[in-house]
Amino acid sequence: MRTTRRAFIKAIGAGALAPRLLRAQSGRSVTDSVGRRVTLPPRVERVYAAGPPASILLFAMAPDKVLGWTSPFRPDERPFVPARYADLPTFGRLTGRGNTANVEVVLAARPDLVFDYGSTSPTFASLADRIQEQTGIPYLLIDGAFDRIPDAFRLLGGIIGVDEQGARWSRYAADTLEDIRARVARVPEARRPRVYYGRGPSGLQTGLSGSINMESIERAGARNVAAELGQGGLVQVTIEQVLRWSPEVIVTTDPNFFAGVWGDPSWRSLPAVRERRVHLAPGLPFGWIDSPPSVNRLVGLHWLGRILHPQAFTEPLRPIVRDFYARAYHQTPSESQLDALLATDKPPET
Amino acid sequence: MSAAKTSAALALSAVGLVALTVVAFAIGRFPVAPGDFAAVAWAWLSGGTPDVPATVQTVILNVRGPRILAAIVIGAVLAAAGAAYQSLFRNPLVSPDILGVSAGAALGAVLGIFFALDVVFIQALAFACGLAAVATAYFIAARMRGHDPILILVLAGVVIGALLGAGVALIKYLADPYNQLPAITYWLLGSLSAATRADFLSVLPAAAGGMAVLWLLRWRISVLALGDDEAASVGVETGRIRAAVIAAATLMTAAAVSISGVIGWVGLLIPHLARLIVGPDFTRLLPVATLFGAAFMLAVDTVARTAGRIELPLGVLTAVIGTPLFLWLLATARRSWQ
Amino acid sequence: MKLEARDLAYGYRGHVVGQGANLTLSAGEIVCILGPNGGGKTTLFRTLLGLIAPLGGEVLLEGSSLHRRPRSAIARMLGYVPQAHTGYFPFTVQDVVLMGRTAHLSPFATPLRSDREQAMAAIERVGLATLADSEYTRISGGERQLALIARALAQATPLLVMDEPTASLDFGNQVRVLETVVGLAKEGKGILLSTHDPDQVFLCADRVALVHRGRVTDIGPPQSGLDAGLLRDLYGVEVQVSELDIGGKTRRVCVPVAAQSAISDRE
Repeated sequence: MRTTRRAFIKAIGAGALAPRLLRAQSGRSVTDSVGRRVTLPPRVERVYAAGPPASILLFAMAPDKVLGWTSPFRPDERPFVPARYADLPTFGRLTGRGNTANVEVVLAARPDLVFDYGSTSPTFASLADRIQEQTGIPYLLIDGAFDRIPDAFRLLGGIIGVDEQGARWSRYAADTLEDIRARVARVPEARRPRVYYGRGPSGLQTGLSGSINMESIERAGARNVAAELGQGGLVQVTIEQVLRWSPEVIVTTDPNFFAGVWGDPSWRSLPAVRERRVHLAPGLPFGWIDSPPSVNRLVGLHWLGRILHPQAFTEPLRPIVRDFYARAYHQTPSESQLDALLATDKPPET
Repeated sequence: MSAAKTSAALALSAVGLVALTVVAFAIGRFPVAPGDFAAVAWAWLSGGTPDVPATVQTVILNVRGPRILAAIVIGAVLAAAGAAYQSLFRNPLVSPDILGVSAGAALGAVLGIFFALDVVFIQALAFACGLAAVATAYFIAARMRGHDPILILVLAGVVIGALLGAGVALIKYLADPYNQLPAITYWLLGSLSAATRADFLSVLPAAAGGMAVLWLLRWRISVLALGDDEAASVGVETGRIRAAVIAAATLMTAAAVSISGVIGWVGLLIPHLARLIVGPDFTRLLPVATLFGAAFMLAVDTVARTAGRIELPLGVLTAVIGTPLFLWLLATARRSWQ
Repeated sequence: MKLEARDLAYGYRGHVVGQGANLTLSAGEIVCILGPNGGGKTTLFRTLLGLIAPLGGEVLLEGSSLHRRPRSAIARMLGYVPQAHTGYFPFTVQDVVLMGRTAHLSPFATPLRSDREQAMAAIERVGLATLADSEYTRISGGERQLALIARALAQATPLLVMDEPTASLDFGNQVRVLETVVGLAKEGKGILLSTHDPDQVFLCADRVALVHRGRVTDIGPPQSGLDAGLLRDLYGVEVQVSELDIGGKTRRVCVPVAAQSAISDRE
């Protein structure tokens, strides 16, 4: 009697453990961009993107697996994205020490995996390990380097089980990058314009060489006037420095700066302003140059190409933009929306 | 203040803390049924496996549990350090940050984030720099002999704190705005949102050690409030006691700040509140302030993680709740100092 | 029990306030330090108590150097009654007096019931029993001074050092404090107290030392040693020292001369 009861209890215990073991055995093992091996469930349906760049990467490739956003859509951003996606809940960021996301809220959403797209430094790798250990949810890091965008698509596609979309996007991204690269290569060094990228309302914040903010602009074959200041991130400069650099083209993302630069006596003296080569980058629903630094920048490359090297980029921009938005944001923009997007880089009529 | 009043205050605050802990475990953004909580608690105590979904267990044992315990320890530590410093510096407006420990820890953490170090090293750097800042202030003050060692110590702390603050500002300026600056900003605002079991265990030894020192020296710390000359004349080795209190308070505070970021007001406000109830005698003030601090921090952290859909920073909440409370104390309480 | 200063030079680093001081204080006697304000009496006392280091010479307690002894040992032999001041925190009189027992506690201990009883006895001895639970910061200056004396009594030391214990007290409280001092000496304590008032010296002192221009001169019993000439040198004013018969005993008093002549001129 006793032995049968003991055997019975053992069987129950094994039965209780069995689902866990079964999961582990049938789960897939994947490796992320920093070499961390993570075990995933066989089907990944619910994905939590831990930061804005990750959100866009996921949304472009597999919008139906998106659980929510890190910050809500602004009213002027909403029209570019189907309502059912724009209405998804907001979770906050789970990146960096000091996430705004409430871990319990994330857990309550029952994600199959969490991933982040961008920096793969030891800080982020160790944070990923901690959160994974704390919550039991697999956490993956994908390298956000500009040149590795095609790899990112393929890796994420394989992880979440949308290999076909992953391959398609990877090809699209690789083709875009190669196309831009080839055209820029044909423009001689001396004919590449000297560009100043002015950020913020005063326009006096710019990116140094190699900074994540300058990646698009530099890939599009611009010579960064701030390169002489060295390598790094963002810096504040003075108007005297800009005047000394005398850029041929000015690119900005701030509408207030763009509106005011034409009348400002200091800026007016610059050749770029006189020749009306100041351009406001479109930013809806996501920036075309750098905010956030994710796959949304791909469309910006085409736009930059036309601004910087009109001879090398002769095809109309409009169909490219329409196509990109339909692919990436899953909604073909209306003609008036396209007008609004493409008109922002024209100087005001005076 | 009578011994009876003190015992009543102690008992009430202990009971209050326990009640608050139960409430904190019960509420949160992840739905946890009371029965589940009881099952997990019982299983954890008796060593069995509860019949509760794995995610719920994770929430209770890995997410809420360490966070609640960390909040209790940090609140207790900051309040105790504040109470000790207020006696030591004979000034009710002193906080544990006065010698620069928070500024030092901030610089350490910010440097760690800037150099993209592993989180464990960021915490360790914060801890080490917090200690180093106070040690520097202490040794500067020791070299500058004068009539008033307390004043020189405070001035040295203020100067070091200002210097380190400038360092933090510089790093913020240079940091990567996408990957580093949000992390830095949030660290400086204080948060327990990522507190893990390891965090809690790492802060425990320093907290226990520091509290033990304060507890052992509690009578002499009380006597120090008489002033250096009089305390010495009744037999207190003022220099040594002062050094021991500063070492203990700094150790505890640096450990707390290294896992929670900068959290202000607790160390200033809670000792005040406790003093209003049980009087300035440190032997009574220490236990009451410690319990009050733990309860306050737990309450604020619970609000931080339940009030909104996203987390609210602790440092902001303690200021928002603490400032009006402090003003009210100043206005309605009797002047407790001339 | 004896406190002794031998050829003591005192002051702060780099600044000598007084030198060549020779003093002794034994149990059962009252020694007064007389001198004008600003003359360095407090600095002398702080040096005698070991709160600042001597700049020259030595301070001996029971024959061995004071500064080599640990604080708690000194505190069991020498008590300090500073000038009454306002406090920073609202301790009660009982709290303040109880702190005097610190020297008798082991390093990590808190006061025991016997300590509390001794503190209460000291409070009663100085007549403050009704104020025992009052806040120290809210009682009058005179009461605060008595509380500080009670603290020194609770400290149960054979020797006491009192720095201007009657400063800022009214006439009645001054007399009360001096009566307490005399009573303590009769009980066997040795008391060193500083004052700027010659009459107080005549009232209670067994010996007096003058502190003037950096020199400390022990002139022995005031009845024989303290005369008008010395007081004129000390204070720069004309005085007359007379003897009065008070309750069958002769006591000297010091009366300023200048004010008197103005009145008599008017008569």
